[in-house]
Amino acid sequence: MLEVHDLRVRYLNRSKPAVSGLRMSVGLGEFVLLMGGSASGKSTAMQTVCGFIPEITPAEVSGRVAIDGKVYDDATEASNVVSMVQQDPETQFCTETVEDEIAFGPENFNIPSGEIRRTVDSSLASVRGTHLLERRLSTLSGGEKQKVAIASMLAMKPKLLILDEPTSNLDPKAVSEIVDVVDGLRRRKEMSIIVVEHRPESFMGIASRAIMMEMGRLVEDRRRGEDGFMGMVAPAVGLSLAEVGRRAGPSVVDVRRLDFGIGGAHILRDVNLTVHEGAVVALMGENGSGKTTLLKHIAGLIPPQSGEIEVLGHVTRAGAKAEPWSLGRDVGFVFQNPNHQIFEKTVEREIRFATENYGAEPGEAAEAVDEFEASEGVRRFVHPHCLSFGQKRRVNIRSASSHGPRLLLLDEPFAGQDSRNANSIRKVLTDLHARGKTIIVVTHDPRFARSFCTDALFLKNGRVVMSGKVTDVDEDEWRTLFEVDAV
Amino acid sequence: MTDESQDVQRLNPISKIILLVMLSVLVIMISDPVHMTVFVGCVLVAKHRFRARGIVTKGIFLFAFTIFLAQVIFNHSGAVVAEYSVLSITSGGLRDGVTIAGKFLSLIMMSWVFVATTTAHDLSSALSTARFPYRYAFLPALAMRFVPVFRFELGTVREAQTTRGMKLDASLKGIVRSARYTTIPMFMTAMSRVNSIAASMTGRGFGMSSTRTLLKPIGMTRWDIAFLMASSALVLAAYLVSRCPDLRIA
Repeated sequence: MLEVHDLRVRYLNRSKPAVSGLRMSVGLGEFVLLMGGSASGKSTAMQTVCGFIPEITPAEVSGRVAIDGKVYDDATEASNVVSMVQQDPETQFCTETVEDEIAFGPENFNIPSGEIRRTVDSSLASVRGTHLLERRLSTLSGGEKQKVAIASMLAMKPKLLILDEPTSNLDPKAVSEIVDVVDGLRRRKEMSIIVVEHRPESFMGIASRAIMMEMGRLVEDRRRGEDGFMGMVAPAVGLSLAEVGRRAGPSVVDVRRLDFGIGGAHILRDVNLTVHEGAVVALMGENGSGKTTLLKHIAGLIPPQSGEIEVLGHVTRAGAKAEPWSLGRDVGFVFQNPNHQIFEKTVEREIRFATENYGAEPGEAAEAVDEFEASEGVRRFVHPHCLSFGQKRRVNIRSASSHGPRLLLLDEPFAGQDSRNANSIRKVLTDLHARGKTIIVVTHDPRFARSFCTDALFLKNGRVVMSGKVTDVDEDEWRTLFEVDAV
Repeated sequence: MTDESQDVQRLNPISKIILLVMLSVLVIMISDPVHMTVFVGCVLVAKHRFRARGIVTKGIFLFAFTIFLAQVIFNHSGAVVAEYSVLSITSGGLRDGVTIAGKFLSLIMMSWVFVATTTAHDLSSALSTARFPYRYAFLPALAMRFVPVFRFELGTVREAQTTRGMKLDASLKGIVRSARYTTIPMFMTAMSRVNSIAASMTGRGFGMSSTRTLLKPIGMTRWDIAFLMASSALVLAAYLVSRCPDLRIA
C-alpha cells in the first residue's frame, strides 16, 4: 500500500536532515504505530507522505514515496488516497460547524450534495459522533474535536489514514474513546492506519505493528506476536518527590466557596481547597472541567464572582478587581502554549523578563540562565523561538519562576512532550520544589500524579470531587475518577 | 431569535449586499438633517431588532458625536442660531454636523446589521453558488473562523505578560511596549496556524478542481427577487423624497 524508499528530508534552515534514508512499507489494512521521541522525524516523514512537505513547508526532499504503486506529484493529488489528522484538531478546522467541516473535503471533490450528505452521516457514525452533527466546533470538548477531525478525514475515503499524536491533549476518558474509535476503524480493514505517537501505550494493545524511529531513521520494526513487540514501549521513568523529601507547611492557597460562570454556564461550583506550602498538587479532571479557570482565579487573572481566594496573604473577594500584576510577584504562571509566552529575543532576556519588570533580585534569574545553558547545551544568546518545543517549555518554566515567586502554577506542561522531555521537566520541577516553591500542575496523566505529586485535586463539571494526598487514593478510586478501565 | 430576524437570515446574502450598497448610496446622497435623522432612527431600530452589536459600539457613537461637535464649533456657514462668548453656532454647522455624523453612524450600523444577520459561511456559499471563484469566495468564511481564535490567543498573551509583571497601562509608552511584546507571540502563533490550515485544506483537495459542489448551496429564490424589487422601489422612493424641495428644511 505505502512504500517509502530511501526518503531524506532536510528543512531549508537546518544543516542536519530530519529524515535520513527512511525505508518502510505498510500493507493494506495494517495498523502501524509509529513511535519515537521528539525530533525523531516521524511527523516529518508522514507530512512528506501526504505531500505537505515540500509543498507547504519548504524542504529538500529525495527518495521515493508511492501509494498503491503510484507516486503523487503534489499534496492535492495525494489527498485522493491519503489523509492526515494533525496533532491539534483546532488548528485544522476551516469552517465553523461540524457538518460544514466534514463536508468540506467531499465538496472539493465535486461530489453531488446528496452523496455529500450520506458521507457526512456515515463518517460521523464511524467515530460515534452522530449527535454532534448540528454543533458548532467552538462548543466541542477536546475529545469531540478529535472525533470530528477524524470524521472529516474519513469523509475523504482515504486508503491510508495518518493520525499525528491524536491523544496528546486529551484526558484519559477521551483517550479511551479515541482508541475505541481507531480500533473500530482498524477492524473494518478498509484502509491502512498509521498512528504517530511518542507516548504510544494506549495504542499498543490494538496495533498490528510498531515502528520506532530515531534521528530520522527506522531503528526497530516489529509485528504483533514477534518477540519484544510489547517491550518497544519503555516504561515511563520519573523522578519522585520522595527523592527530595516531602514538606508540609502553612497554607499558601485557600479557596472558599468559589463560584464562576459565563453566559449562564457554570464553570466552577462551590470550590473549596487548601494548598500547603511545599506541596506539589496535581490538578486533574476531564477537558472542560474548569482546571484552567481555577488556576486563573488563583493567579488573580479572574476575580471571583462569589466566594473568596486567599493566596499568600492576598485576599480577593467577590466583586473585587483582578490584580494579576501584584500577585504575579509571588505567583508564577506557565500557560499551555509555549509560543504565547515568549516575548524576548534571547533566552537570557526571556528568563530575566519578569525579574526586570518586578525589579526583583537578579540572582535567581542569573542562576536559571546558567542552569539552562548547562543542562540544554544552548547558548544564552539564542532566540527562544529557535529552540525545540521541549526546550521552549523549559524556558517558559524558568521564565515564570526566576523572579522569586513562592507559588508556581503550570497548565498542562507535559502536553505534546515525549518521555525524555517530560523527564527534563520533572527535573526542573524537582529543583524548584527543592528551593521551597509550592507547585500546582494541571495534568491528564494519573501516573505522573501518583509518582511525582504530593496531593491531587480532581474536578468534575466544575466541582471538586476528590482532594487529598495521592497516597490516600487507591487504584479503584483513580479508575472511577477517570471513568476508564485502567490508569 | 425573532421570526423577523430568521426571515432576514434566510435571505440570500447577495440580496443583502445589494440592499446594503443601495442604502449606502442613498445615505451618502441625503443632505437634509431631518431626513438624515429619520434614516438614522430607522437604522437604529433595525440594529436593535437584529441585535447587531459592534466591538466598539460606545467608541463609534462617541466618534460620531465628536464629528457633530466639530462641525458645530468650526463650521460657520449659514445663519447664526446662537452665540456663547467666542462660540457661534450656525445653521450650516448644525446641518452639516447632523448629516455627516448621521452618514458615518448609518454606514457602520448598516454593516453591523448585515454581519449580525449573515454567517460568513452563508456568504461564501452564496458567492460560490453565484459562480464567484470559490478560492476567493471561501476567504470570508476562513477569516471569520479565526477571529475568535486570535481574540482568545491575544487574551492569553496579555495574561502571560501580566503574570510576568508587565503593566498594561494606556499611556503611549505603555501601548508601544505592549505592542512590541505582543507582536512576536501573535506572529509566531499565526504562522504555525497558517501552515496547519494550509495542510488541512490542501490535504482535503481544496484547489484541485476549478469548481466545487456545496452541501447546502444558497441560490437566489423568488423571495430574494421580490425582496430586491421591493427594496429598490423603497430606496428610489426615499431618494425622490429626499430630493423633494417641499420636504426640505430651508
